[in-house]
Amino acid sequence: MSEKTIVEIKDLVKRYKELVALDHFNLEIKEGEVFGLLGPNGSGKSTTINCLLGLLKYDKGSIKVFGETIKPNSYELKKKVGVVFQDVGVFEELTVYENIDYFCGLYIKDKATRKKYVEDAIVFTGLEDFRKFPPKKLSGGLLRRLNIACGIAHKPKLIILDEPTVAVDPQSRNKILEGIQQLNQEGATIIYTSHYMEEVEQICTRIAIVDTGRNIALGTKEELKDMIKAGETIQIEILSFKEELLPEIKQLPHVYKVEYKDNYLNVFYTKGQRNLVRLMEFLKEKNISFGRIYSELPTLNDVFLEITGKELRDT
Amino acid sequence: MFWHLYKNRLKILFKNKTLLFWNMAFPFILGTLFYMAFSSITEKTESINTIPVAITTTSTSKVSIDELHNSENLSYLFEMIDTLSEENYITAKEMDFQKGEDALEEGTITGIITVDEKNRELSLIVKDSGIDQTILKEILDTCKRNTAVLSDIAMSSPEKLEQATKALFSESSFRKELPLSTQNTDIYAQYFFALIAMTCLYGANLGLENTKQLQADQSIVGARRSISPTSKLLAVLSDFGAALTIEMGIYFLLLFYLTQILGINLGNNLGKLILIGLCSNMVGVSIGYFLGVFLKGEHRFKESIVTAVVLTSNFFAGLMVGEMKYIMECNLPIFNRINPAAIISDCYQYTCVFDDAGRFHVCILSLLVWNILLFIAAILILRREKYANL
Amino acid sequence: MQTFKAFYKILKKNSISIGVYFGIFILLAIITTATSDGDVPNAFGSSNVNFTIIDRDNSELSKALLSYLSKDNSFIEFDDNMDDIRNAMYYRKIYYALIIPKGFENDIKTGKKPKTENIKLQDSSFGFLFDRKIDSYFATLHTYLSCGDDLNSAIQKIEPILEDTTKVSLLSELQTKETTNDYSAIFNFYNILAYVFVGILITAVSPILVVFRKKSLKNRITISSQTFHSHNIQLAIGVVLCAVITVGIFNLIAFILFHKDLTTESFLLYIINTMCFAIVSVSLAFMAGNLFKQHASVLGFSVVTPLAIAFLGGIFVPVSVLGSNMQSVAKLMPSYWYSQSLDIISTGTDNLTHSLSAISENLLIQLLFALALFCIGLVAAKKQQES
Repeated sequence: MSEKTIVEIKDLVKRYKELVALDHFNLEIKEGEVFGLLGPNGSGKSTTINCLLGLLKYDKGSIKVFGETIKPNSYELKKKVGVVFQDVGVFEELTVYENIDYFCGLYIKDKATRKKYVEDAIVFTGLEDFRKFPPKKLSGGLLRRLNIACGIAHKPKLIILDEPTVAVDPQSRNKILEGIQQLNQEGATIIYTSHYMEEVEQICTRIAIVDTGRNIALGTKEELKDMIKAGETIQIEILSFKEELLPEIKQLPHVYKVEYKDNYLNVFYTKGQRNLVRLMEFLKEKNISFGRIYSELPTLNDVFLEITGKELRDT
Repeated sequence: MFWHLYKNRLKILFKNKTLLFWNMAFPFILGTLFYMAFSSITEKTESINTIPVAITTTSTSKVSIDELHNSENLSYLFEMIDTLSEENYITAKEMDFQKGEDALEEGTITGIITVDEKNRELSLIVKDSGIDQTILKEILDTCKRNTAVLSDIAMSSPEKLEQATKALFSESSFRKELPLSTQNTDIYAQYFFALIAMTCLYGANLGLENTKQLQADQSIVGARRSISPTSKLLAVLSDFGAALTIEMGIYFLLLFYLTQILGINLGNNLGKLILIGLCSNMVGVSIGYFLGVFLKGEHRFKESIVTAVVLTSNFFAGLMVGEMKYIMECNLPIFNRINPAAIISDCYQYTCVFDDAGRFHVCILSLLVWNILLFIAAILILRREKYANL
Repeated sequence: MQTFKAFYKILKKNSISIGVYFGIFILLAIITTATSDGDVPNAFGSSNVNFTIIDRDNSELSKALLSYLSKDNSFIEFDDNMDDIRNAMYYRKIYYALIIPKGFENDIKTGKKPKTENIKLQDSSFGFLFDRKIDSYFATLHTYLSCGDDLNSAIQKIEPILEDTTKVSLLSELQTKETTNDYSAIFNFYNILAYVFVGILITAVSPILVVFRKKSLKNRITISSQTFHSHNIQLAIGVVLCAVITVGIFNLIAFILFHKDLTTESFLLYIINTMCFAIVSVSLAFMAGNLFKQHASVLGFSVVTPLAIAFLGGIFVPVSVLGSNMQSVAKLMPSYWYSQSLDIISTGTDNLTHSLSAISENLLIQLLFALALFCIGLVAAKKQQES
């Protein structure tokens, strides 16, 4: 990953009448990153993307892509950008091949080059067997793949994917995520917006958590998790437990919360090592029998929850 | 790049069956309806026909018509009737009064010419008022007049009777006919002109569909195309070209259907017809472009407005009430100069009815001006490209 | 009344485009009425033919000729512009144009045989009539001139001869119609409503039915606790309300325009007749709403169908001038029966019951059309559901 800045958003403000969709939003994306924009519905992710692409007017701030602002006639700049919109945007009247060819053709004039790129896109998205299908005959997952193919066929340097896996089956989803990583390995900078933290955690090198039009946290997933108090959570099945022992468990290192509920002892730790070992030693010492053990590391949802007080999927 | 965009747009529009169906169905269905409705109208309302009449006695007469026919005193009356029959103005059949009444009641004859033996004159009985009945009256009036003139001269200057007779029945005429037009004067052709105008302006639907797929706030495809490095002007021109191609195809099919299948006379100046078609269809598509980018709202709303605008324009050009264009010409002529449908109809009128090159060129120019204005306005709005809301 | 509320909300959302159509159609109805000729059939009267004379001579003779021709026909003044005249003739505003050249009277006086010029429709009966009138006039005049009379004396002599015309009587006096001055205007207004109602009601109602028939919506409604009957009754109420409002608005306009000439009885009959036709129109709209899936298709149908019904059913073109085959086809249009009722109502009525029974058959036929169209709509809906 280089230090070259591909996208720079400074102090961006966008209002829809009284509603402030983007509230002094700031962002910087480096070349080669897979940058995640994570936030609940209505947090301003798509608005940010549309402003970045020059489709939406904004009230204040500046946006630079490859060092320039995207204007209607920034044709050379536009050639470097590819977008996969949240909603599928293809022509119902054209086949899969014709759709990809059409959109690639908006960027690549040379026929021979375009033909190769279209083939690559079809192979990349696994649509070889569906070239001649019209969109209405494709399943939801295949349609999404077509949507992606149309956005990336011209091999752009910056690819923006706006919630590309909505309503997609798990198999297609995995394929899409693998494909994105492959594109990144081939040299593209990726901006990936989603409200699915699992996806963002899986593929993104750096993540911005967005809420109510603001960039509320920024960093790698480890950095983000380090921001919050929460560390490991251990859950142990204990059928018979004396609640008087809870304060003793709370005294164990790194424990900030403990509870016994529905035959499960839940112990919440801040960052620390060997938490499970110490807990098991304690239980052994007290002759407490236990069953199943679960250990969970903090998620980005925990980060979001701690910062905003709500779940990523609250809205 | 132009060819790539044009070719694909052609495919897309061509495969839009709903759009294509109604753009084609409308003119062909309506053309057929017009043909069915107007096929015998001129013959029934305007054309001169031989008028069937009965020759009878009066209702109170005690003699038969044959007896009257043989009467010397009345021979001149029957001679007049014979002359009228020979000249094919009437077909006369002598019969009893009662039979004549029955025939008139049934409608097999238009009038009864009664021979009044007492007053030595002809009179007329009809069932309705109408032009045929008026012609019958005029024919009989002429006979009466001739008789009165000759009687008057016979009484006042009998020596001049021969001279008078010669002058009265002289074949020389005091009239000279000027042509109305050397071409098609059938007013019902006006409906077909309005129909063709409507077909061309219906291209607005294709123009509107194109704008939907060019604007980011109307469709995702529009958003995709907006962020692509293709110049908007190029995209618009190629899409416009494709829409125009399809519209011209429909236009030529319609011309073929009207002229070759239905036999409507649209003149034989193919060059002019092509020119009119090109300019008219361009205006139609431009209207769709302009309304598509100028109006704000859902696509369905825009579709309704486009249809309403085109329908109104054509109403005032005489699509529903044939003489509406003329009414506007008499009361608000400026409206006909700016109403695209009226201008298109005028193009046909000055090609197929009155061969007036001057007015024809003015009409073509007006269409071009419309096209340029609408197209430029659409481009200027489209170039905006940024939206307050997507 | 959730379905009804939803119906109303969707209608409200489309109110601008429906309003545009209302505006156009109101304009259409008023303009068509305002430009209708006051053609009043009467006891036998010669056909009143519009003509013009371009009098470049401005002499006693030309004035006498004008006076003679104007007796039974309508003189319309035109400037000496052949393009305007030809245009007017093409649109049948005049059927004959006579041009009297300068010096015509002098030429007649000096024994020459000058010629007037005329423009007329080829092979038309109107042109023939005028030709004969003019020929007869000059033949008569020329006869006296050839016998030594001077022009003024000849003109005076032929006057009483020209006034003494053939006696014409009608077969039966009962066949005369009682008419008012605005018979034609009221009839034309209501006549065009056949076109207007079909256009407006398909535009207003069909798109809403298309929305309710969308698969996802339909499924939701089907599995809800609202009964099938309740849902359809509410839809029907919405549809009927649209019809009632349309009938109300246009009858109100009729009242505003023609209240001086409308009797209570005839107005009531007009309302009944228009209500029947409105029911036909909503049945058509219902059928369209079930046949088509897309708004664009409904729009296309809403343009083509009213025009078809109007042209074939004797609205824009009177049935009497259609060919005999077409007159049979006209009877297959509900607009034909609507128009037939209008014809009866327009001749005037004092006895409501009597007139109602006179038009009852036509009303019933219209309702039968409505039923047939409704059934087609139902069949289409069922087939869609099965597929």
